[in-house]
Amino acid sequence: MGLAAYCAKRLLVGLAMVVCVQVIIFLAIQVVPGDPVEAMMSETAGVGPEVIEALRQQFGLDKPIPVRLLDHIVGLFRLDLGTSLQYNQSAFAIITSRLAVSIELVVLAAFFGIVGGIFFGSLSVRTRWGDRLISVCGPFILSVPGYVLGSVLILALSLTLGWLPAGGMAPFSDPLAHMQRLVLPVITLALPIAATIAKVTRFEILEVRTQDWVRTSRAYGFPTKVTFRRDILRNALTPVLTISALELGGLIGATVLVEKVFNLPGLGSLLVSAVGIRDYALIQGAVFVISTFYIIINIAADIMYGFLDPRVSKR
Amino acid sequence: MSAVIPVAGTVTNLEKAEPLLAVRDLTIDFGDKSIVKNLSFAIEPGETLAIVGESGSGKSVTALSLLGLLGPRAKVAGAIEFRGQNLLPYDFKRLAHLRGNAVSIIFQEPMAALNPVYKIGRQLSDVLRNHMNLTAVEARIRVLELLNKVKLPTPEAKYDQYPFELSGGQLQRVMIAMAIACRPKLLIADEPTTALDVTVQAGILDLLRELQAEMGMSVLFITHDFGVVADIADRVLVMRHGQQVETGAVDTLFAAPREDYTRMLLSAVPSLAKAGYRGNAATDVRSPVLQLRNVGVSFRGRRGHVLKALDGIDLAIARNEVVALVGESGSGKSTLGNVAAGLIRIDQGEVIVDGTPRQGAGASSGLHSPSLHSPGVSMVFQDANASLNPRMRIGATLRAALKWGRRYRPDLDASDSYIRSIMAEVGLGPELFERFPHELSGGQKQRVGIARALSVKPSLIVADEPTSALDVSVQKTVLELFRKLQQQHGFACIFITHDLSLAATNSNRVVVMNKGRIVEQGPTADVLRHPSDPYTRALLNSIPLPDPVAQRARRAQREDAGANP
Repeated sequence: MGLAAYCAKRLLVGLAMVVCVQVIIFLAIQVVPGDPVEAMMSETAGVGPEVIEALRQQFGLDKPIPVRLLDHIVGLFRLDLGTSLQYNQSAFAIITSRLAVSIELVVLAAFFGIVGGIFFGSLSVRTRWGDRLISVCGPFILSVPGYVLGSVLILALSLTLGWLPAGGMAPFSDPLAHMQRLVLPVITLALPIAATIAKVTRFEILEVRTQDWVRTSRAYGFPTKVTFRRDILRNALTPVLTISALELGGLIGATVLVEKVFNLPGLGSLLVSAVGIRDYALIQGAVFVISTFYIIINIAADIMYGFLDPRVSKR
Repeated sequence: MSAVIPVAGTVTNLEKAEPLLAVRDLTIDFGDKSIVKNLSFAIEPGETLAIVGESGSGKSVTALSLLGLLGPRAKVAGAIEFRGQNLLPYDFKRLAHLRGNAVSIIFQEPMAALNPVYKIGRQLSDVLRNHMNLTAVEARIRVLELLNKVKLPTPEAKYDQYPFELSGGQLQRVMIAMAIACRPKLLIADEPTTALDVTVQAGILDLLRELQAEMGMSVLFITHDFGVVADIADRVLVMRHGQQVETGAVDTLFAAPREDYTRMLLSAVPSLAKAGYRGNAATDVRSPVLQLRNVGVSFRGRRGHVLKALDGIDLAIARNEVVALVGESGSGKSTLGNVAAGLIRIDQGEVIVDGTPRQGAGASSGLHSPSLHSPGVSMVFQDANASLNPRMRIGATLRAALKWGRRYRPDLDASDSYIRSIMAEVGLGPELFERFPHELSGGQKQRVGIARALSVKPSLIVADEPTSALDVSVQKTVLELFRKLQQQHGFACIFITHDLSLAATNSNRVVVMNKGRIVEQGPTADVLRHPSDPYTRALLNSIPLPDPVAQRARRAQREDAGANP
């Protein structure tokens, strides 16, 4: 099977999975008691039932559930995610405006987490202090929840030392301020990933190091560094990739909390507030984007797998 | 016409040159355990020295120590002088220059010795460019030359293939290409053919001899196989417990060994020439224990590729009879053994055990469940170590087999006293009852395997290469035991082996398999003395004879045949 056929098959399965997630989310919100229009209007005094009914009709909430589900799924394929109750505009527009910050966070955190993890994992095998660093800091980082870590970082680096802003976002037009505001959230997100990846990398390196081909590499006079890079680290990366893909999935969930802690206008914070007031279109839209992203990452990881281990792609 | 004709295996230089490699008082310790003690030997230019010994003799450790490959735990003392320079204590900078360059090495498992994620061509050109200043294009040309030189078929295609796409023999040729890439003075070969089939082994040994003659390099050959020694060595060093037992020219050592240990090793070597063939068994062929009719098994491989592991197999085995299944890896002999033991489902044909249909037409019961009138089949596995649960004591392992058997056959005795009596029968002391597998030697573990197979009183035992993991001296005693038990109990036996000389001494009938089919079968002595199938003949001719004179004669004959086909 060629690579193109393989990707096509995986994408089709991925698409089916996105639709399944949408159906489950749709039904799940319906099961939760409460009505979005009533929730919205409860703050405003003296709204009659006829107003609420009119609003319902406007948002299409009076139709039976199967019809609404079908409308929603069909809409997905036209990238029409419905209208947000809260903002009264296209959910798609709101989500795309919030997406940039989240993507930035996820990409930067994934990059630093994975690269840093591989770096420190390798270091822990090659130096004694690297080993200590991993065995002391790793469990510490992993045992502290992300929002606590974020809060501690804000307390130390922003509030006490005043080195970095505590939260909020600056536009791209001001790159320095923009970057400054990303530093702490990215550290908060990347550290646990780095700790996990470092641990896996270390374990895999120790495993690969005993293989015969490493002995061959030494027996043919390759410099230690070449043997390490070419015959140990390179082979250790395949399982690291698997864990990285899983970690990225977790990362998307973690941004929700971190965006809240650092008060960032991202997709995660949007989703949290949308759930609070049952903004159906926004919840489903956000979940749609997140699940699509997750599935694409997994397909990418599987394709990468083929590149890292020829036995996978040729079989 | 007075040209000096160089004679193979002798040093033609008039003045006695200093040896290429001189090892003096080599002592290697791991922790406080001494693996090699005061070992001294020398290798002359162009000479082949074989170090022979059983597992644990320290022969491989010695080989690895020459290039400083033992790792930080090993303490190496003494002197290793290569071209007059002492390599000890190791100077790893200098060693890096030597490794793969003036001294190179090939290993036992070619599949494991190459990195699975890089193409063959890349791995070879990396080695070349590590020691020589070559551009990528120059390296590619050199690599293709090398692949041609080691007679790898379709080198251009192999250049872009990964190790897992090649066979074991092809990979060992790649390894040899890597080893000769920088024209070494010394080639260390650490059991290079142990993991290969005999016909493949013969090709690899031929290639090594040819390259050695052409390039004039010395070879240090590590092996446990006296047939291989007779084929390739000029001089031999026999090792035991890390020490030299004796050393000498190959002809003298084989003809007149001085030490008892050498004599014992030589006599333990299974040999077709000296084999006492077993005659026909006293048996009744009308009621076979196992009957296979037109059996076929297919495995589905990648990309819808179907491999016919067994194809149209007809075979009947009677009580009291030992049938040897011989063939090379991939011939289907183990698959056939597994079918007989009820471990594999067949796609075609019938399997009948003790007159009861087990698979195919008329089969209703499970694959292998025995019953009162059909005691069934048990199996002795190749890897005795892997076939024992490391967390179960020996007694418990044997009891487990009996308890399972009792579900079908309440007449079986699972008491401790019966287990102890079975252990005594296979020569295991009662003190081993409470031991764990790791506390036993390889030979003892295989005895447990035999006891387990025997304890359930089967009508047929399938022994799948039961001694291929054992040293020759242990192999001999285990096979003698097996033979004695077989004659006492009279069970039928399928003896799967790749070693024709073992088939000769241990079977009444031999079945030769190739590519999933039976190519020849008949009484052992007939088939092995007068093979009618060309494949059987090729197989027989590939076994190196444990006699340097006879082996040289046969090699000359083969080369003549190769020269004028």
